[in-house]
Parts: sequence; C-alpha cells; structure tokens
Amino acid sequence: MTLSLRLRVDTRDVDLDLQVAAGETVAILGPNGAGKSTLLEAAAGLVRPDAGRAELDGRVLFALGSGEPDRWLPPHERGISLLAQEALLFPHLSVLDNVAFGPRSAGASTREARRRAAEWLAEVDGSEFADRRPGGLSGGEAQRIAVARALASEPRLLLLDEPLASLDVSVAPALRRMLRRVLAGRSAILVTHDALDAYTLADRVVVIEGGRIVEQGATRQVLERPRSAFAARIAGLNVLAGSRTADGLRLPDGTGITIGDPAPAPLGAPVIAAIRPLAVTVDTAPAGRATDAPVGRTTGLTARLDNTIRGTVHDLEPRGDVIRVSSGLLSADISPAVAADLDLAVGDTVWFRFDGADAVLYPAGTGSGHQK
Amino acid sequence: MVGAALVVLPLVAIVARVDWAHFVPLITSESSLAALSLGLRTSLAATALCVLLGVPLALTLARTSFRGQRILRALVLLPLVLPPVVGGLALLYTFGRRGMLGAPLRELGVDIAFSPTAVVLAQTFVAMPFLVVSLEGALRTVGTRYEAVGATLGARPTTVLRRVTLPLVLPALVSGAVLSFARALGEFGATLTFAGSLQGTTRTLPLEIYLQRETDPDAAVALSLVLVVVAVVIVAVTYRGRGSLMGRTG
Repeated sequence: MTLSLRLRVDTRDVDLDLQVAAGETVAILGPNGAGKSTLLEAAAGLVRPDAGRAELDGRVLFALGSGEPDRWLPPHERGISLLAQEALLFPHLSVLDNVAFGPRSAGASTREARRRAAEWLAEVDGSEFADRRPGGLSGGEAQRIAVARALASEPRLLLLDEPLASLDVSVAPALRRMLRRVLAGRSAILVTHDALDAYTLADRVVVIEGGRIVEQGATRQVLERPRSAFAARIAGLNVLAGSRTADGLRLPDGTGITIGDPAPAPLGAPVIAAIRPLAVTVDTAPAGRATDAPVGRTTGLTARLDNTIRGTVHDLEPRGDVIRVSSGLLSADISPAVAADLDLAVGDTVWFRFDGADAVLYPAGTGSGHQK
Repeated sequence: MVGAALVVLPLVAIVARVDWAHFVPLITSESSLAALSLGLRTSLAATALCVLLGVPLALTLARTSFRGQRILRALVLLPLVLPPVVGGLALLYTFGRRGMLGAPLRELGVDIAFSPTAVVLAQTFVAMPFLVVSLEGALRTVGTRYEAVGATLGARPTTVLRRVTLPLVLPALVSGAVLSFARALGEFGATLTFAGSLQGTTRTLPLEIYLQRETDPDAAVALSLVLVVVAVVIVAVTYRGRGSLMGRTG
C-alpha cells in the first residue's frame, strides 16, 4: 500500500477513507463541492483536517486526533506534487528553471537540476520551450510544462486536480495521451469530471458525494454498471434502482420493469437497471406510435417498447444532434424532429418507453462498491 | 482640468521665479551642497531601513492572521495621515534625551536626538507606510497559489520566500522603495521637530529651503527646483519602471 488516507473536515462536512496502491492511479469523481479538492489539499498538506491519519510509503503524513500524538508534516516534506487545473508556472522563471525548481529545492546544484529538468522537458515534448518565459505559452503547452515540473520533483504520489478541464478540446487528447504514458506505474490521484479521463488514466474509480465515498471499484465496473447517481451521470447512463422480480425489477413506486436478460440475483434482492438515454424514447400519450423508435436503436422498428414509465419533463437540453429530455428518474435522447412533433415543454407529463433488451440489470450492492 | 491646473500652475510659477543667472552658484553653495548630500545619505539609509523593516511587516500583514491584525495595520499606516510634526514629537518622546527609549540609550552612551540618526529615524517613520502599503497589496494580489505550488515541489518556506514570493512582488517592492525614498527626501516636519536643523548634521534640503526663504529667497527657489526635478524623475521612473519591471518579472 502506498497511500492510506483518512480524514475529517467538519467545516466542509467531509469524511473520507481512501487507499492508493503502489503504481495505481485512482480517479475521484464527484459533483462540485463533494470534497474532492479538500481530499487533495489535505493529502498535499495545504489544508489541515480536523481529524484523520495519512501514511505514504510507511511515513506518517499526519495524525490528528487519532489516539497517537498529533503529527503534521509540512507540504515540502511530503513528497507529494499537485498538478492543478491551471499550470501556475512561475512567471519570473524560464520554462527550464520552472522544471528545475523541484530538483533545486531538493538540494541539487543548478547545473544538475537543469540537466534533470531538460530530461523531463524532453519527456513531455517541451524541449523547444526551455528558454522561454511561461507568459508566452498556450494553455496546453503550459500544462505540459507543469506536468514535467511536477514529475521532476520525483514525487512519491502525484495529485492531479482536473488537469485537462481548462484546456481546449483540440489539445486535451494529446495531453491525455501524455498523462497516460507518464502515469503508468506511478501512484496518483486524479480528480476529474470526465469519463474519458477516468477510462484512459485510472485503474480504479472512487465516487464522492456530500463528502462521503458512495461507490468505488475498477474503472470499467463503476462506469458501465454504476450504482451511484453521479457515476451514472458521468457514464451517461440512466439507472433505475429496485428489487429483483422474475422478469426484471420493481421500482419503489411499484412500476414493473421487464429486462431482457435478468442478472443472477435472488428474487427481491436490490438490483439496478442501466440504460442509455439513446435507447429511451418519449411520448405524450401512454400508448406509443409505431414510428417513434429510439434514436439509438439500430434494429429500428423491431424494438418492443415494452417498458413505460410516466414522468414530468424537468429539462430539455440540445446535445449535438439529439435533444435530451429529462425527468427526475430518466433521460431520453430524441431527435429534433420528434421533439418538434411532440411540442414538449418543461412541466409536461410524458411517457418514457424503452425495450428491456437494451437495459442491463445487475445487483446493487456487490463488489467493492459501497452501496448508496 | 481645474484639478490639473491646481497642481501644474504652482510648478510653472516656481520655475518662472527661478533666477537662472545665479542658478548654479545658488545650488552649489556650501550650505546647499551640505544639505543635499546629507539629505541623499539619510534618505538612502531610511529607504534601506524601510525595506529591512517593511518587508517582514508586509509579509506578516498579508500572509498571517492574528487577533488585532487590523489594528496593527491601521497603526502602521497612521504616519500616512498623521501631521509629520506630531510624528516628530512622538519620536522625540521615544528616542529624545528624556524619551522612553532615549533615556536608557543615553545611559549606554547612545545619543540619538539631533543627530543624523534622528533624521533617518524621522524619515523612516513617515516613509515606511508607502513601502508596506505597496508590498502588502502586491502580496495579496499575487495570492498564495504559487507559494503552495513551490511547497508541494519540495521547497522549504525560506526557499519559497526567496525564489517565489519575493520575485513575484519585486516590482511592487521596487516602486514602494522608490516612493519611500522620495518621501524621505522631502521630509520636513518630523525632522525639524525631532532632529532639529544643524547644518551638515540634521539640516536636510527641505529644512535648508525653509531657512533660506527668510534670508535668500532666490536660493530657496533654486533648491526647490532641484527637489521638483528629483520628484519628477522619481515619478517617471516609478511609472515607467513599473511597466517594464512587470514585463520582465511577471
């Protein structure tokens, strides 16, 4: 185990317990204000928790109110680098000296520090910027240099706080690939809002809501079979929680849902059905018309829309070539033409319909995930 | 426009009043040169003292929080609005021969009042707020994010101060020091009250001007022009210097 971290911050209502194995990258997902940044700041030593204990490679980072004498290691003695959304390169130093800052602080001579900095710059394809001031760099270039600077200090643990969030979509992929390369075999915690970041970079996903861990597990398991509402949203899935019946599940309000391929769970056990919004359609009457096959249904007219759930439209949101219609429970992506035909407005009562064969059913409380 | 005229007209008036024929002899008289040289030396010493004492003070005000901090800040800035003559009196009762610290210091053989040291103290007293205000503002603007980055890269607090914080606020430190120097050079009331007016010892340029005004108005005007020119140069350097320093350091 590389990192074990337990912390409580009362003013922000955060209470978390997290482990990171050696060489493992853990993605932290969660809504704004869930406590993700607090977690990183406490690990880096920038925020002092009210209580908790953290250990990195056998060294105690802090121990506060945990039954032993209180200890608090200042940030510069922790061996933990933090890469934020903004690059925050020192404006008064050249790019090379920015990267050399860590080695210099660790006691290397100027010459040795610059040599190592040059190596890291090459690693992020940033050698050409060595003599430049950070002021003239683009966001993507600056973030690459910031990665080199963070790694040059040879941290035992790397913290990444939405490192791609402020970048243009055209430069994010290259930086994501670069991060994948440098994060391989490194212990890291990555805070992100992006499922693609999690898929690309993380071995494991931890979902935080309201200052607590609500779900964790292998990246694919969490994002393809989400148990928490937030993970489902990140993964772009609808999730329906209920209890297992012979042909599907029953929602808390009594609605029966038929699923094509029921999961191996005992009758009555808590289960979750996940379905993509593209496989859901919307109608303004309980009985559907023949032409309203879901956008995402390649088999088209053969869809048996055997499940109907009534809802109230909370939100209508254009998303590329589809319109997302959301109720509190379900979302459907429908084509603009259908949306126009239905003449939908927020507050309308609608019937969401989908084919049970398009949904996946799985137990709600198994695996390493904490049940919500 | 009226406001600008109020500032510009008196400057024009004093330039118009200069006796150009005798300008050079007037400003190079023995007493003038003594006053000028004393003023420059004490002002430089006062500026150094402002930096030495003002930087830690600004850091304390900008980077820590403690009970009574607001009161401390208000007190530190007080000399900006306090009549200098009152400041001089206050210094007299602190460092004067019978002052709170002056009396014990005198026992030890250190006599501050009516010495160049007193001039430096008076100038530092009135000039330091300029440096503290300028620097504290810059420290707050820069924020602590770069310092946090430095710390997570393994830099000790002293290294962070030396390699991150101070370089980031260097432009403000320089302009604050220049303003302090200018204020020290022009200091009159506190100096006269606390240090007196002894030629070559405590009589700086403004004191010399005030004295000459009674006996030789032409000399007073010529010396005033010297101070005007110094002030113009300082303002120009501070404003232009601010731009270029910002460009170079952030």
